[in-house]
Amino acid sequence: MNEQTFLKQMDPESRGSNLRIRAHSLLESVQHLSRHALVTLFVWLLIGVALSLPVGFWLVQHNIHLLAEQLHDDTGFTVYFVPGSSKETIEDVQAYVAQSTVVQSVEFTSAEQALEEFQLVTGYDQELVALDNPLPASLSVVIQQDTPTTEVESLLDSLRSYAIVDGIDFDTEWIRNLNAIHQVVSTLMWIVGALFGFGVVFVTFASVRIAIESRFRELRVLSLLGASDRYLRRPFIYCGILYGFGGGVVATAIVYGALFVIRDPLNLLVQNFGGTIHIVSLDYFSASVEIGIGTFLGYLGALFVSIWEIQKRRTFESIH
Amino acid sequence: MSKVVLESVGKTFENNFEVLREISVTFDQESVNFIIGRSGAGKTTLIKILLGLTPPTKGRVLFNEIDITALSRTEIARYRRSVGIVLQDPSLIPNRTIFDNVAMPLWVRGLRSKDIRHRVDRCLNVVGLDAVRDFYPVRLSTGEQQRVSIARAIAHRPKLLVADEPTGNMDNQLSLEVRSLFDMFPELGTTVIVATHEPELTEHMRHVFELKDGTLLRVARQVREADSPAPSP
Repeated sequence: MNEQTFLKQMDPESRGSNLRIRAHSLLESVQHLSRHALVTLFVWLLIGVALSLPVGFWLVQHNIHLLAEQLHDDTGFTVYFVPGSSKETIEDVQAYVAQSTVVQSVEFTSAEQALEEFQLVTGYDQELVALDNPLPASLSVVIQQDTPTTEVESLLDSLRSYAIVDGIDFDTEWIRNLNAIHQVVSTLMWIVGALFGFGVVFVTFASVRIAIESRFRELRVLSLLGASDRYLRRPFIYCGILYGFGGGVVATAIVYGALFVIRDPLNLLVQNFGGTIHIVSLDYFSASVEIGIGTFLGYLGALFVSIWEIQKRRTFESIH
Repeated sequence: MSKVVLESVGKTFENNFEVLREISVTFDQESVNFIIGRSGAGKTTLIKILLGLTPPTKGRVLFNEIDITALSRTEIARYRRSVGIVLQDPSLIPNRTIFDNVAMPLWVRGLRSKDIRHRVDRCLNVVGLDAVRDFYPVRLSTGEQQRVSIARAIAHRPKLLVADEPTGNMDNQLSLEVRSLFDMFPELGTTVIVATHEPELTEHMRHVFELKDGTLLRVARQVREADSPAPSP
């Protein structure tokens, strides 16, 4: 008889009993959390707050991204020509712009048309007619969607090299600023996410450590009764998972609550920037991911501390 | 089959104190064995070695021909699932009921709830404590607590039961009551090894060993013909 066969014979009832052992451990964990309901609630709140911040940052950067994308649809610039430029040279420039792959449309406005529009808008009829037309001819250029900034910059540089081009008014300077803000928020999201993720692991670590200490005597007895390290760790790991799961649910509630409160002011802000999009909230998938991340971080914290503590407390395998 | 064989087992502590030297003994299956000796003779060290809690410095411990000193941690845990343990301190968990305390080795083995209920009730019946199953340990006397720990030790039908000073905190009457419980276990197929510093506990017992100066010697005794069979837990 080899050793493995012997050991299986010694412990025949362990066969097929894994599910019952896990179910029992889960029940133990649920009972532990319910016996310490106040502590559990506090841990859930801590984890919830810690998780809601990076999720909040994610929502902000996601909404900025969507806003920038929507506004980018109308991105374009206006090329102003030196007054008195010949029609032929202006047509050359217009043809050059039109053949660019990044350009969606080009519209020429002559100096006369510009003056008419100005008069129409301002009502300064007599005064301007009395003067020479001070307004330049111009080209209004609309850029294709999703054009990389570098290609637009390249086209602008080419246009600036024309002597008849007096200036270029890039309409989307502030969108670039918005994109820069998006980058900053995105970076912040990762930093805050990493820090608060560590925080969640730490909170779970500390909470589960207290749970282990409170059951030290029981662990000692169970170890003497033949409980494996895995068996000893399991209820605490389930505790960590439940802490993380509950924290994820609380974080989702916090984010939904916060969005509910700031939805209207944010919509107004977006409209002021010319946007028409609605604020994107957490959908079911994102909420599930958030809860899943919380659960995973809870699991990590509990796994670390249970391995560490149970290994450290090997001395509990003592009969005195 | 649950024979325990010690082959030239020795244990020397880090301060070079040799507590056990060249112990060779066979504990027959389904027998009750007493190891007596004064305090500090090495009884607890020997029990720890039998439980796989500390390795011997030399020699082997064979449990059904398997050397338990060579087992991994996981295998040792599994080995302990076939061993019942009774200590001087009953080691009951105060915030769990008597039922839960006795059920602990059955949880570790993953038994069905109804089997656990059945076995715990039978074990509590064997030790005469079926009326207190829903009590907490604090409501029981020291003797009752020790009987609960014996019920816990036999709940999983161990092949080997190891007891270290199980009557250390009891008066003579209680001690004899506890010993009478041990007398039942060979009938259940369990080999019993009890370490005690109370020689009176071993009166009329067949297998008595004395641990003295690091060696284990068989003590000749007038044997009483024994004992009534016990109900199976």
